Amino acid sequence: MEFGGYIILGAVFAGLLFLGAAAVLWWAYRDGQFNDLAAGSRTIFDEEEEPEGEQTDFFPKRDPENPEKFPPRGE
Amino acid sequence: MSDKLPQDKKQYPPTGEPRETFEGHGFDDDRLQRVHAQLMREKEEPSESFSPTPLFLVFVFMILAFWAGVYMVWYGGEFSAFHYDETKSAVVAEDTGPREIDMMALGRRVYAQNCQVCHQASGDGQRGVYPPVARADWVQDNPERLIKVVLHGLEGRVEVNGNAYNNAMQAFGRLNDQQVAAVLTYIRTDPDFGNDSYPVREELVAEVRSEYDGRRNAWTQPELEDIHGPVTGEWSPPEGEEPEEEPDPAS
Amino acid sequence: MSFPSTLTEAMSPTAEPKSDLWAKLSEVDRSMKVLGVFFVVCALLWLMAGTVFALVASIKMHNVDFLGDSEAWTWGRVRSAHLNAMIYGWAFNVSFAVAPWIMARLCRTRVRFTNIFLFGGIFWNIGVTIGIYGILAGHKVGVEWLEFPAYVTPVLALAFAFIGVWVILLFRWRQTGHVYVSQWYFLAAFFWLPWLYAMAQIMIVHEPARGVVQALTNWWFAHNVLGLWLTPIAVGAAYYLIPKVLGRPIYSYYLSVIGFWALALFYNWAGVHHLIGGPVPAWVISAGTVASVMMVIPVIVVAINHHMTVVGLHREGWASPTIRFVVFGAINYTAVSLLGSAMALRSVNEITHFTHFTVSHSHHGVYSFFTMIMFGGIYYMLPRLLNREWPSAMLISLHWWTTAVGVTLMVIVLAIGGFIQGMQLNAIDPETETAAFEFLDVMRGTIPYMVMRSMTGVLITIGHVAFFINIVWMLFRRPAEGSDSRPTLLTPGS
Repeated sequence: MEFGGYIILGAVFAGLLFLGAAAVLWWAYRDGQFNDLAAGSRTIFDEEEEPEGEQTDFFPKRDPENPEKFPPRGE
Repeated sequence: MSDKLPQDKKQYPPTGEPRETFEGHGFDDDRLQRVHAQLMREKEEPSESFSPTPLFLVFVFMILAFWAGVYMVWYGGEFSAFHYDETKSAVVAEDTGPREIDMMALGRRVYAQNCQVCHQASGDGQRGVYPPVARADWVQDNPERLIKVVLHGLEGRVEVNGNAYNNAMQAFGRLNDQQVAAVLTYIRTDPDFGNDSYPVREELVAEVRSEYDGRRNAWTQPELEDIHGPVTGEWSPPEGEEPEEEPDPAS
Repeated sequence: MSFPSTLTEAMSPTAEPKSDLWAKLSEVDRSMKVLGVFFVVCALLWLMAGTVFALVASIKMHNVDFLGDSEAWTWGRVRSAHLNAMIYGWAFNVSFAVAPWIMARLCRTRVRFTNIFLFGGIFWNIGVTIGIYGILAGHKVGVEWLEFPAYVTPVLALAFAFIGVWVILLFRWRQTGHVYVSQWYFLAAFFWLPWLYAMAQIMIVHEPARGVVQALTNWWFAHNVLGLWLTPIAVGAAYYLIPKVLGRPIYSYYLSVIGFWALALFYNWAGVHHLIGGPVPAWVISAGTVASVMMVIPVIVVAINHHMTVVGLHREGWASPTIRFVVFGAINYTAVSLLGSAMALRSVNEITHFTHFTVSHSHHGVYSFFTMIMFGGIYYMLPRLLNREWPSAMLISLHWWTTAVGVTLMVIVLAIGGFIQGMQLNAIDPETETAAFEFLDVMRGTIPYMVMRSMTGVLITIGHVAFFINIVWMLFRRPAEGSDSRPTLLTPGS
C-alpha cells in the first residue's frame, strides 16, 4: 500500500478509537459512575460470602494454628 | 432470591437517598448494614475518598505537564517530517554551495589507502621493484601523464630518476576525479615528498578520463613519451592556467 | 431459572429478569470452573516450555556450543521461541484465566455461552503451538514480538476475536450498577489488543508498509502489548485482589479512575522511544519520550493505591500467598515503570539501548510485575474454582522464595552488566578519538553476568517446577473428607 494510504487509514482508526474513548468517558459520566466513588470501591465485597474487613486468603492449613488472629468465618 | 436483588443503576444518582448502601446486600436488617458500612468507612478511610487528589500530586502533575511542553518545544524538531536531529534547528542553514574540500587531506588519505603499499609512506618506493614518488622526475612533470598512469596503470620497462624498473602498476580508474586530483596534488606539492610542482585540477582528470574512455590496457613508457615527450622533471602550466594561489602545504 | 436460549437474546440483558441472573460469588466461580482450569493448565504448560527455552537461550549466551549441533536449537530460534512461548503462551493464557474470572465476579453473573470462549482458547493454543513449531523450524518473521510465521497469525487474530467478543458480552451481562476499576482495565485491554495485533500484522507482515514505518509499527506494537495488554490485566487484577484479600477497600478510588484514563491517554505513544537514534522524525521520538515520562502520573496513582491499601496489614498479607505475590508484583510495577520512564530519556537511552540493561528491564516488567501478580491471581482463583485447598504450603513457599529472589537477582545482575556494557560501548579514547574498547572485549566482559543470569534462571526454574507440581497435585488428588481447612475456600465443607 502507498504511504499516503496508510496515513489516511491510520488517521481514521486513530480518530475512531479516540472518539470511542471519549464516548465511553461521556457515558461513564452520564451514568453516574463517578458520583459516589467511596461506595464504588466497596462493590467488590459481599457481606454474605466475602465481607469487608475480613481476610480471605491464607496459606493452606496455617490459620487454624492462630485462631484468634484469623477466626473461622461464617459463625 | 428476590430479596437478593442487586441495586440497579439508580443506586448512584448525583442526588439521591440511598448513598450508603452496599452492593449485593444480603442482610435482612438493612439498617444494621447501613450503620455497619458507615462505621467501617469512618474507621478505615478518614477523609481520602472525599478529598480527591492530594495536593502534592497535583503539584507533581503540573511540573510534569510543564516539562512536557518545554521538552516538545526544545526537541520537537518543529514537527517537521524531514527533521531528524532534535538538537539542531529545523531551519536549514543557507546553501553556500559545495563544501570546500581540503585536497591535501583527501590526497593524504587516498595515498594511504591505495598507494602506500608499494610506494611506501615515505614515497621512496623500493629499489628495483617500485619506483619512488618522492623527489621523482615523473611526478614533477606533466600532470596528464600522471593521470593516465593512475587511471589505467603502467607496465613494462620504466626509467625514473635514471633508475630502471620493470614491473606493472595496476589501474586505479575506480577512484573518482576528485580523488585522483587530490592524490596527485598531494604527491606533487607535499614538502615531505620533496616535490615542488603545481596542483592538479579535477577538471583535467575528467578530461583525460573521457578522452581515453574505454581503454583497458596499461600504458608503457614509450607510449607516453610519444604523446608527452621525454620525462624531464620540469613542467609549468600553459599560459592563463596558473593556479590562483599555491595550496598551503601546512594544511 | 430461565436462561436466554439464544445468543442474540443474551446480548440484550435489559430484556431479562435480573433476579434470575444475579449470582452469588460461589455460583460465579462454579460457572467459570471449566474455563479457568483449562486456561490455567494451558498457561502452566507454556510456562514450563518457555522456561526450558529460556534456560537453553541463557546458557548459549556463555556456552556458545551448547546444543550447537541442532539447527532448531540455535540461539536465534530458541530465543524467539522463549519470548513467544512466554508472551503468547503463558502471559495470554493466564490473562484469559484470571481476568475474565475477576470480570465475571465483578459482574455478579454466571457466565454463559462459554463455548465461544473455549473455542477461541483452543484455537489460540493450537495457533501458538504451530507458531512455536514454525519458529523452531526456521519460518519465523524477523520482527521482534511478531516472530510467529505469517501462516499462523490469522488463526491467532481470529481466536482472540472470539475471546474478546465473549469478554465484552460478559460485561454486557453485568448485574451491577457500578463498574469497578478492574472492569475498566480488563474491558479496555480486551478491546485494545485485537486492534494492536491486527494493525501490526497488516502493516508489517501481510501488507508491509515501507521503510521506517515498519520499525515504528513494530515498537508501537511491542510496547503496547506490555502497556495496553499485560499492564491493564495485571494492574486490574491487583486492584481486585489486594483489597479483596485484605478485606479493605482501596486507598483512594478517585485516584484509580484518574490512573486508568491517564494510562489510556499516554501509553499508546510510549513505544517510539525504542527508536531513539534511529532515522525517525525528531518530533515522533520526542512525543514518545514525553508520553513515557508522563506515564509517571498513572504509575504514581496506582502505586499510592496499591501500597497504601497494604500499609498496616503487612503481617496479615504475609499470611496470604496471593498477597505475597501480588504485592511483590505491585512494588515492581512502580519500580519498573519509573525506571522505564527514565530509560525513555535520550541521555539514558544512549547508554542502555542495545545492552543487557534492556533485557533486565523487560524481565522486570513481564516477570517481576506481570507474572508475579498472575501467580497471585492463580493462588486465589484455583481453590475457589475447584472448591479444593492447595495441597502444599511448603511448595507455595518454595515457589515464592525461588521466583522472588531469582528474578530480583536476575534483574539486578543484568542491569549492572548491561550498564557497564553500555558505558564501555560508548566510551571514547581521548587520544585517538575512537572507541575505547574493542567490541569483542566488551562482549567478553558480559560473560560473567551471563553465567550469573543462568544461575538465577535455574532458581526460577525450581520455583516453576514447584508451582507445576502443586497445581497438578491439586487437580488430581482426591480431597480427603474434612481435611481441608477453610480459609481459602468459599463454602466450608461443601
